Parts: sequence; structure tokens; C-alpha cells
Amino acid sequence: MDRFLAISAVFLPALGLIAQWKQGPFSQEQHQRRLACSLCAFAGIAAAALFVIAFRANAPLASVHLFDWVSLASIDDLQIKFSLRADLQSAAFLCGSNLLACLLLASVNKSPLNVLQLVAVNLLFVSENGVQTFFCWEVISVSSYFLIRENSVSSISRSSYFLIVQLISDLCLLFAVTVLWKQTGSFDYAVIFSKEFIQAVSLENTHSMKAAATFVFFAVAGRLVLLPFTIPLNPAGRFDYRKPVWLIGVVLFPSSLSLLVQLQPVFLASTNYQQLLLLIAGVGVVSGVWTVLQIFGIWTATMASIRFSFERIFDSVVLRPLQLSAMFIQWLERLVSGWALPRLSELVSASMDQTFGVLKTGDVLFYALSVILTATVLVVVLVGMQG
Amino acid sequence: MIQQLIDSFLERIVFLIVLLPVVGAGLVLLFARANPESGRRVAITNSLLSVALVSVMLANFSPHPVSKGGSSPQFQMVTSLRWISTSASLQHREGGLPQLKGEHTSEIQFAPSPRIRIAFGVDGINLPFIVLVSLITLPAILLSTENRASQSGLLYAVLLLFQSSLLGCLAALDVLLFVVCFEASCFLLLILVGYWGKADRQDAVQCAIKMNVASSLCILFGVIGLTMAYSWMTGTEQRPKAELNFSMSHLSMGIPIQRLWSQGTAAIAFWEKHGPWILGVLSLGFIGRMGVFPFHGWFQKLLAASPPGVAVLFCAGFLNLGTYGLLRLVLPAADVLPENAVGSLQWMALIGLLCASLLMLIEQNFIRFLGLATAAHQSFCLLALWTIREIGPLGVMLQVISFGIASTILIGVHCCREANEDQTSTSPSWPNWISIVAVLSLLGIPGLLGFPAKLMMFLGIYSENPVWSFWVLAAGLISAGAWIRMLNRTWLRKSQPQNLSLFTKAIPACFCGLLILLGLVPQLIVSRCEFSVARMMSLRIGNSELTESHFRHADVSEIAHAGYDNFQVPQTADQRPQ
Repeated sequence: MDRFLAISAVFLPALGLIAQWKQGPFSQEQHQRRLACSLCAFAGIAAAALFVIAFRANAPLASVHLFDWVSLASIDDLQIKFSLRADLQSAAFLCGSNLLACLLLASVNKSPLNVLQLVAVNLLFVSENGVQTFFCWEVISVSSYFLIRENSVSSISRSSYFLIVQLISDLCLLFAVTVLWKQTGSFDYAVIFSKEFIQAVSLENTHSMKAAATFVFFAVAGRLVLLPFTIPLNPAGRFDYRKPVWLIGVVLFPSSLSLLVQLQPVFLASTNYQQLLLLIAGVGVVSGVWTVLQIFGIWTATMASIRFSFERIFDSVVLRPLQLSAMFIQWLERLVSGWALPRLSELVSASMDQTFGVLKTGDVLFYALSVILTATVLVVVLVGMQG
Repeated sequence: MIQQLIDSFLERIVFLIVLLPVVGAGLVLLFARANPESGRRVAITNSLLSVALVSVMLANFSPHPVSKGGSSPQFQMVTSLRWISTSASLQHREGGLPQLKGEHTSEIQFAPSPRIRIAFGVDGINLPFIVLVSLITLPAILLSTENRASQSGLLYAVLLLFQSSLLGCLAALDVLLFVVCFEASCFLLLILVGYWGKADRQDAVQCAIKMNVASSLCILFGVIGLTMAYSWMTGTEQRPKAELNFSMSHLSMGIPIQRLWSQGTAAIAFWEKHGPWILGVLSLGFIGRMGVFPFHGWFQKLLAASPPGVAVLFCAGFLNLGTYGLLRLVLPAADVLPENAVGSLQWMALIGLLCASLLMLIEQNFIRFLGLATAAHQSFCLLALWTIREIGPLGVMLQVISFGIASTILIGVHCCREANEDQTSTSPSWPNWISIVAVLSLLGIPGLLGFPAKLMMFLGIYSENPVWSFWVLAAGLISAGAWIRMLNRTWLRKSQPQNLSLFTKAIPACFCGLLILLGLVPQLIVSRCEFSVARMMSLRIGNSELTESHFRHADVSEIAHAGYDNFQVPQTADQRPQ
């Protein structure tokens, strides 16, 4: 029963893709919206039931194994499986997210990306290993980019900045997961965050945990476009996204919160990092308030000049050096291919012409004959040596 | 009877896969004389048959092969024909294969002489490469159009021969056959570009010839050095020089096993003295062919001058031969290379990756941009190949397939765009979306094949050196920015031509589906390659205990040198040569 509920709570919204078909019983837009909202409501109810079962059992329920994604048994003994973790925490997240989606789906634009985002967020809540978490995290990034791109009134190139920030966030999470994998040899949270391991790492090797905690911090900061990403690259201010409530309320904020809760043992390695966690929460609150004010256009005018100066700084500090270095490499390449190599090839051609003057007619012929001749001579020499 | 026929067919299927395009080339020339269009149809049918044969091979490929004797052969579906072989060597062969130093040898009546064979087979290392080449030939033929009426069918015939040479190189179990196919593929590529290429082909071909002559010579010298070294290492006191052994299996597996289990002998001293030079020359040859950053100029020019069909086979097939050569011949014995040399190669790959990614930022022409992306991809592969865990090379195999399929889609769609440039609209249509999926796979977005590939390569590189992995991610971010810019300039704005045939539309859609399927279930490839890569890596890292435990796990029970095309290793310590 609990497995059925877990699968329903995660994947039921995916059936909303049926609503995207242009023909059939759900061809009218209001029917499509009703179907999508009903599915989310059912998923929320299933998650609520799961929560009750887990609460009464007072222990994590059995996880649902979906499939083995990668399994390397020979040397590394690396097994990455996709599964659904059913416990109080994941059920609470699933319930909240699905019910909120049920309320908001009626107002957002009808798009498969909404459904994809919701399923990815649900899978993130129930993930049991780092790779599944990273998988869902990156799906959320890309789908958010395309959603913003579809619904933005700003220029297309500006929305690309959002994707870059999200990719930085993805890479930070990848680093965090990889650091933990290097320490334990496993991606499973059950192995990584076992009591013995936490104790051992806390006593002996706190650096890796600190590194992991730092990367998790930057991953969450990038996802929510908090500091240090907020000022030059704020999505709400820069991209004029029409439906920020869905993006922030259903997708970005719950996924970030879930990640912090899932990976919170990495912060236990040092008390400084527990303080950092509080700092994240504080920055999140400030940034959230600022974003809400900006949505209503209160700070837009005053922040415009500040943002403009930060853009200039970002351009001059990051983009220009990148372009300059690329141009420098291109100049070097042209210097080598336009000046050095032709002279070298002239020298080689001159010596080759002297040696193989008869074969001037075709470069291809010359190439083939030279290789065949060299091979023949060497094989004959080898056979002769053996004889 | 029927079962025997089926078994016989399945045993020779790799040979048939290599031979089929040659037969197809003959048929194309025959049919095209009467009607040029029939030549094209024959070529398409031939490539479809090739895909069908590869599917059968894939279905019959065993991830953990066990022979009747309980041993674990390296290659499966082996076909072996005598090519150059004297009677002396054959009679000597009847008494057993070359024996290890220290073993008792009673009667040697004939002087040893080389035995060269036309032998083809498949294992977990060449399997993904063979599948890829077979898959991309069909779009390559579809994208090719004959532009010279007097040469009807010749383009398709040469394309099929090119495919056959690529397959032959990948499936060869004899190093001389490998070298012959390697050079033949290069020769045919130059003919294809030189004859049917774009306006600037002359300069491109000349540039390619110079680079390829250099790398060919390096490969040739390296292979001959490897053969001679193995001959000297396996000699006995009575017969100091064993017969020349050109078996790919013996050369790739035999030398590291000799080195691991013959500590302190003359053989090992010899290999430690000469091995680094041989492997260094061989590596240089293969890296030159890969088109890694400092050596990318020739292939970028050649790619720009290639007709679209040839560009597909060149970019997704030919350039992978260098990667395959490194995997097959260099990596198993690479622990003899000095740390400085390996470090230099890795730094070269890393710098190449960063530079190619930076250059992508300012490149405007799409084909040249794709050339730079290929250089970055090859540098990334080179870096991940040298990692100490098997996960790196396994990731490279996935990445080769991912990049091959994605680049085929991109070249195909770009070709159609150029042909119908006037038909544009404001929103992207479905071929554009397929191109976007291909780009997303190149970026390593989850749900597509590029994701597990890049993840595994990254994990391998991180295991080797965490600092490199940081730079790899930086390069990934830069190239992601460049790809997004290219997307915004091209596929996200303009629409695709709508006058494509259903068949032409179906191929990219199938390729796109393949990217998604393999991205969701990468285990389909990983499980087939894992065993062979693990065997190779256990030799590469030079840990005899690990090697022994790995082969015990594989249930190997036969004594060394049990077959010409399949090298076997001793199971227990008392069977090792002392």
C-alpha cells in the first residue's frame, strides 16, 4: 500500500501530459486544466496518506526500487539506482508541493514544462542517492530556463544568464556529491550519512565535509539566485517572468529546502557550518522579501542604477577577460597556422620534392605510396631479421 | 542443420559486418551504370542491412563470455583467416603457442616466422565504436548527393568502402590488419574530400596529408616496436626470439601480464627500457589522429571542406579511431610510461579543453564551431582515458556514442538549413527541437546520453586529480555558454524546412530517441563494456593482486596463451612462470 502511495504521489502529475494532446476528450483548455489540477490533488492526497502511515509506523517505510541506472560490480563496486524513499520528511514535502501545484496550475500557462518540473521536484524529494538528486536538480534548471524563456517579455539573451547561474548551481552540487563519493565510495545517503561515518569524518577529516557543505551552500544560493548571484543576475528583475509564484513557490524554493534537509548532515561536521546554515536562511528571507517587493515594482527604479553598475563590473571582470583570452588564443592559432606552419610545410615540401620528384602529380598518391612503401620496407626488414 | 547454419552465421557476423559494405560498393557501381538513382537505393539498403546485422550482433553479445572450457575469452564472434603465414610457422604452431620464459621447451625444429591473419572479433571495448559507425552510415548516405553525372554511384561506393575500412580497423584482431585499415580509411577520406569536397578542399587536403603522414609513421613505428618487443619478451633460452606475434589480443594483454608476473627477469628490464619510447610514439600517432587542441587545425579545415555525408562519418567515426587505438594498444600497458609523460599528456588535454572551449565563444561559422566542439570533446576524452579508475574509460565510451549521434543530428539539420535558407519563420519546428535535444545531450543535461557519459568521465577525473575536475567544469561552463549563444542564434529562432521526406525526418527522430533511451538506461551499454574495460584497467593500474582477483572473479581457468585470438592468463600462483 505504502509503495503504491509513494509511486502515485510522485508520478501521478506526469499523467497531466495527456492534457497536452490536442485531440481527444481533453481538447478544450478548461478540461486540460481540470485534469492537471485533479491529478495534482490526487497526488497530494496520496502523499498525505503516506505521511499518516509513516507517522503511525514511526519509522521509515520500505523504499521503492525503480531501476538500476548504472551498476559497476567488477572493480569500483559502484551501484546507482533510482528509487523512491518513503518517510515522514519526503511525504510532507510531496504533500505540500502537490497541493500547492494543484492550486497554481489553474493560473499558470499550460506547458509540458510545468509537469516536467513538478515530477522532477517530486523525484528530488524522495531521492536516496546523490546522483538521483543531481539528476533532478539539473532537470529543474533546464526546464526552468525554457519556462522563463517561453514566458519572458525580456530579450532572449538575457534569459541565458539565468541558465548560466543555474548551471553554476548544478556544478556546485555535482562537486558536493563527488566529494562525498570520494570519501565513502558510495552515492547512497544511507551509507554516506551513517552514524559511524559522520563520527569518523567529524573527528578525522573535516575538510572534505566543509568542502561539501560549501558547495551545497553555493548550489542552493545559485538555485534561488541569492547572494552572491542575486544582484547582477536576478531573474525576477531582469527577465520580467510573468508567473514567478509557480517558479519560486513550487519549484525553486521547495527543491532548495529539500536539498538542505537531505544534506544537512554535511553541516554537522563543524559548528561554523551550522551557523552558515542559519546564514543561508537569513539571506533567503532577505532576498525573498526583496524579490517580492521587486515583483510589485517598488524597488525597480532605485535598484536599476545599482544593477547597471554591477552589470558593468560583471562584464569587465568576467566576460571581457574571457573574450580577450579567446581572442588571444585565436591570434596565436592564426600566427601558428598562418605563419609558422606554412614555412615549416614549405621546408618539408621542398625536401620531399627533392626526394620524391617523380610523385609531384598528386599529394594523395604521394601520401599513399609513402605509407605503403615504408610499411613494406619495415615488414621486410622485420621478417629478414627473424629469418 | 538449421541450428548449425545459424550458429555458423552468428560466429562470423563481425566478419560479415565488415565485408558487407565492400560487397555493397561493388553492387552500387554495377547498378548505378544503368540508373544513377538505383545506386543510391542500393547504398541505402546496404547500410540498413548493416544496421540489422549489428543489431543481431548486439543481441548475441555476451557481457560476461564463458567458453566451453570455462575460460573467459577476450573476443567473441571471431573469424580468423590466414593471410601471410609460412608452413614453418604453422607447424610450429601445432606444438603450441609461444611459451613464456623459464618454461621447458623440448623440440623446436623450425625457425619462427611471422603469422599475419585477417581476423575480426568483438569485445566490450570495440563494440560501441562498431555500433556507432554502422548507425551513422545511413544518415551519411542520405545526406550525400552526387554532383557529377559522369561519376554516377562512385561517391556512394567510396562512402561504403570508407565505412568498411572504419569497421575493419575497429574489429581487427591483428595489428597489421589494424594499421592497413587505419591507413585505408585515411586514404579514402582524403579521396572523398578531395574529389567531392567544397571549394577550399585543396588546402584542407594538403594540410591533412602532412599531419596524417606524420601520425601514420608514428603509429607504424609504434606497432612494429610493440610487436618486436613482445617477440623478445616471450623468447626462451633455446629460442631467444620468439616468432613475431601480430595478435591484437596478445600485444594488448600479453605485455602487461608479462610485466606483472615476470618481475626481475630480462623481459621486464627490456620493456622498462624500451617500452616508454614505443608507447610514447604510438600515443603521439593516435593523439595526432584524434584532433586534440594543438593538432586540431587540419581536421577543422577538412571538416569545413567536407560534403555533409562525409563530415558525418569523419566527425563521428574517423576521429574516434585515435581514441580506440589508445584504448586498445596503449592504455593496458601504460603504467610503464613515466609519470612526467602521462602528466604532460593530461595537461595538454586539459589546456586543449579550455582553449577549445574559449575559442567556441567567438566562432561564428557553425561548422568551424562544431570542429572546435569536437576538439574539446576529444581533449575531454583524452583526459578521462588516463584516469586510474575504470569509470573514466567507460564514460569515454558513452561520450563517444553521445557525441557521435549528436554531431550527426547537428550536421544533418544544418545541411538541410543551408539548402532551404529562405524558408524561415518565427518559431522553431520539430527538426529544430531535435537539434536542441542533441545540443542538450552535448551539454550533459539529465535524461540524455551525455549526462551519464560526462558524469562518469568527471568522476574518473576527480578520482585522479580534484583540481583538474574544477578546470573541466569551468571549461564545461564556458562551452555551455557558447552552445547557448549558438542555439539562440540558430535553432531557437529560425524554423526548419518542411519539405523533407518522411524517411529523412525519421532518422533524426530515431537518433533523438536513442539519446533519450540510452540516457535513461545507460546500463544497456555499460553492462556490455564493463567486463572488458575492467580487465584492461586491472592491467593498466599494475596491481597483480587485483588482476588475479579480477580474473578469478571471471572464472578463468586456462593456462596462458591458450589461443591466438584470445589471450588467457594463468589462474593460480603456481601456474605462473617463475
